[in-house]
Amino acid sequence: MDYNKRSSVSTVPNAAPIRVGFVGLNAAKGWAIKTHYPAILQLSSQFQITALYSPKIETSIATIQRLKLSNATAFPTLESFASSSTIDMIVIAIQVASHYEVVMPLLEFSKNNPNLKYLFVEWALACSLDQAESIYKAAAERGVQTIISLQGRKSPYILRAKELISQGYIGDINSIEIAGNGGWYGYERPVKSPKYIYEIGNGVDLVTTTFGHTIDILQYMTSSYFSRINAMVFNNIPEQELIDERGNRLGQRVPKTVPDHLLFQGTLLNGNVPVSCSFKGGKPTKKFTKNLVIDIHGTKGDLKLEGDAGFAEISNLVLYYSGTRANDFPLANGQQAPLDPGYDAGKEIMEVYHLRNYNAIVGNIHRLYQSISDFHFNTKKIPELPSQFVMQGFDFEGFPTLMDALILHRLIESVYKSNMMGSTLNVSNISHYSL
Amino acid sequence: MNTNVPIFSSPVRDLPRSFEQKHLAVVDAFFQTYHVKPDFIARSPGRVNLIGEHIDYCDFSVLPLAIDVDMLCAVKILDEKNPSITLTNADPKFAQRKFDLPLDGSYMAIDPSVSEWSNYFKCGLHVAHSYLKKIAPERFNNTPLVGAQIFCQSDIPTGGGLSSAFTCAAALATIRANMGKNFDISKKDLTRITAVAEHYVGVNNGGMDQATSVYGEEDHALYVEFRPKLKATPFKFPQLKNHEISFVIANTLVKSNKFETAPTNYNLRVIEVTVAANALATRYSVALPSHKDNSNSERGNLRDFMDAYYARYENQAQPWNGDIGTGIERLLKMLQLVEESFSRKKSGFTVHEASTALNCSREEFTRDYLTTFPVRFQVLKLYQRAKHVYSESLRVLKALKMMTSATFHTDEDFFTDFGRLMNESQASCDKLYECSCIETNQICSIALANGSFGSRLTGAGWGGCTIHLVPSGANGNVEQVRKALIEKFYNVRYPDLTDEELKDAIIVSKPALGTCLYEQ
Repeated sequence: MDYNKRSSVSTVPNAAPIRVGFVGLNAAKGWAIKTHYPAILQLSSQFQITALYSPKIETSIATIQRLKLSNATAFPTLESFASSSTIDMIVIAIQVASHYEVVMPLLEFSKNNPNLKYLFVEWALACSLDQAESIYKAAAERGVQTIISLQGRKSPYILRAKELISQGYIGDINSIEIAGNGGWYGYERPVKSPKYIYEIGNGVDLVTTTFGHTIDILQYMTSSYFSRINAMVFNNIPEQELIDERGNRLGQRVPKTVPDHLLFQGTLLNGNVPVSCSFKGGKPTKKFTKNLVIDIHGTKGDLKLEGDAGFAEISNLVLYYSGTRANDFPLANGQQAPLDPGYDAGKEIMEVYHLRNYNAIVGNIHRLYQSISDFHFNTKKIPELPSQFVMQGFDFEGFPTLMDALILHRLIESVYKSNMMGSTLNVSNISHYSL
Repeated sequence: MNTNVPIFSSPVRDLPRSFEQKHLAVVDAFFQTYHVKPDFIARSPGRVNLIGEHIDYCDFSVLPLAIDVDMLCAVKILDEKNPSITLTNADPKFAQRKFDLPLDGSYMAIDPSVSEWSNYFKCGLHVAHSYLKKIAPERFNNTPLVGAQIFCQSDIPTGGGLSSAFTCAAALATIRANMGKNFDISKKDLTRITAVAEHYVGVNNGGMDQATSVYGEEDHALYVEFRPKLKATPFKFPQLKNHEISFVIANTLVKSNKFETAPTNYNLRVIEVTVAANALATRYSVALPSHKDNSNSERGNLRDFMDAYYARYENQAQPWNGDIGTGIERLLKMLQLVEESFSRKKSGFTVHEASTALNCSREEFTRDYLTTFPVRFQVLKLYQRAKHVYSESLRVLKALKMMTSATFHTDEDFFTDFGRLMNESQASCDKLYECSCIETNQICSIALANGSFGSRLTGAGWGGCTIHLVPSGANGNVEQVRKALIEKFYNVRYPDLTDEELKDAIIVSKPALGTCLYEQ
């Protein structure tokens, strides 16, 4: 597995580390403290946190003190934060509902910072396709390299699956089925859960997040966008019961406007492969089944990915492969083919790929940061490496960008549109539009 | 036998042989890199296994010895508020690494999906950290370990126990740096904690490497037992009349990176022997114990089956206690049972056939046996693997018996008898366990034709090192074997090797001292 080898060149660069400014790093709560911060901690030679912004400066000051960020400054205003020349990369780790209103002025203010090279935004990019396109345009005009945290693309299981598919281990794909469970959108709602994730229009729901990450992973593994789609979206549970931390009902019902079921069907551009996909909300049933199953069937073999929750991008998955492939001899580097390889070309190969100790929540983000570092310092010594690239597309190398995010947002927009119109849509031009 | 890891300090006296020349060089290299002198050097030797390959993770005893090549970690402790570890490798192919230690005292994250040299250091650091939390919880549960600058230098060839020596040296260095000069760690503790270190990078191994690296003694082979408790007993080689006993260690130069080939090689073998044990248990209606403390034996192993079988059918409630005579008898019985149970399926078991043999569904089989470590296979060769494990364990007992009680009319009797066991071991590794390779077989043939009495692979196999029993001294064959290997193998297979590389590829070694500390 060449793609999982670390670069043989030093990742302790002679140059200074990339200086990171965070919008949304809070030592007391949130996603960034659980994922981005420990990832950066493991790459301390390559990244250094130098700036924090929060609407309340006290939050940033408390975070700096608690995390002992000796090189970091708390900024009182977005303008002063974005203008500071002590920042090479800005990470946006706030609620999706606030992305547009923060990122647009931030990009404008950042014109005062000649050192800014990278903008890293958590998925989803914004609340709507229009907002996503506006952000994309603004970032392109500002001239920064962008990153979106579609971190499932960095999962070792996804990369291995992509490797197996691209190397012909399953032959040509002939069908794909996906079933997943989206967690919070069932009959019960934890009382501490933030209200905004249950209101449609805030950019976080079963379709944008659970389906969004998973379908991006599917496109990435198969190296194909969709040509046609048909989708049905349901809100069959318009009210939820509040429960406390121990699962006891509080006797109070609250409205929910985001969907709790999605039925999605489509065909991939490559090979006209049919894909069927269903997601539902609610408490996962651990005893009887996996809460995420992706089945990819090919002419020579099958791949299955299983996870305990419907969030492939943060799950420690299990990859199963079964198939036949001629002339497949496992060889150590430089070793001649043995006279009696012990492998029968006609017999089925089975592979089970699972790393018991892998922490996917931190690990996938960590590998995303590693890719940014490899790009910034050109650790793989790629000749004439450009200072910016537009999209990762389906490459093993690199990282997903705002263009990759925009293409995914277009697909999600088409899902809602198909549901509203009750018809099948042609989406084969989804990656072709120019802005 | 000293039960603690030995500590040496200046002035230089009684240093282990292999360390005398190297420690000055590593101090110089450390100074060149960091511009200060190190506080101490943690050293761990490579190892070769005389006999007893791939049976340690089935809890059968092995007969290894530590050798004159080692991993040295020179360490300068840094007293900083934000502790970090900087690792530099003497080999420039392995880039310098730097990482911060978690300030809240939590464990350093290790990414098992990446093949990366510093991960082996992190494994050693992790198990040392776990040990420190146990012996001094008030001190290590909420505060970070100390930072350090570390220079790593090794002449252990790949396949000679390099990764294990590295984790042992790293664990020892971490404990010394955090507990100070006056803390003694026992060999038993160091072996116990490092035996599972490499599991954190997804490599399933048995602990023999670590036991040998830690317990090695000069001029002695080690008899390493894993049951009922981990124990290493040094055994001196027989005193011969006209010859000395030397071991030529020849490297195939085939690099089988344990991490990258584990799914088809090492990890798969562990699963095959586990499945074989459970299939035998199912067939003979005995229950295998589950050892929660050792993740190698979560589902029982071939030794568990032997003990369970004798408890039920031979009324021997006590597990085998390591006695040679009893062991030989029981292992011969086990080989008979393997023939009865598996010989009709020498072509191997598919998943369906294996799950049928275990009376469970394919899904249960996959969940219980195949998801512990990455694996990749066509069939599970239960007959071959089980036969190898039991017959190899039998050879170890015969070798030990030979070393402890036999007398020899002539020197050649010893070389012939011991050599035969080694050659049988190589045949079993090649044909039954399938962990040899063309280069290994070529080297063994050439060595045997030119003066070696016993030649076999050592280490995990699939490349790596070979070991050859060669008489040395005035009437010895060492130089003859060396020359033949150079002319017939290295010059043919690797015509571009430099003299320096040739010198490193063939080592003539006697047993060396195990893991130790050298205070500056």
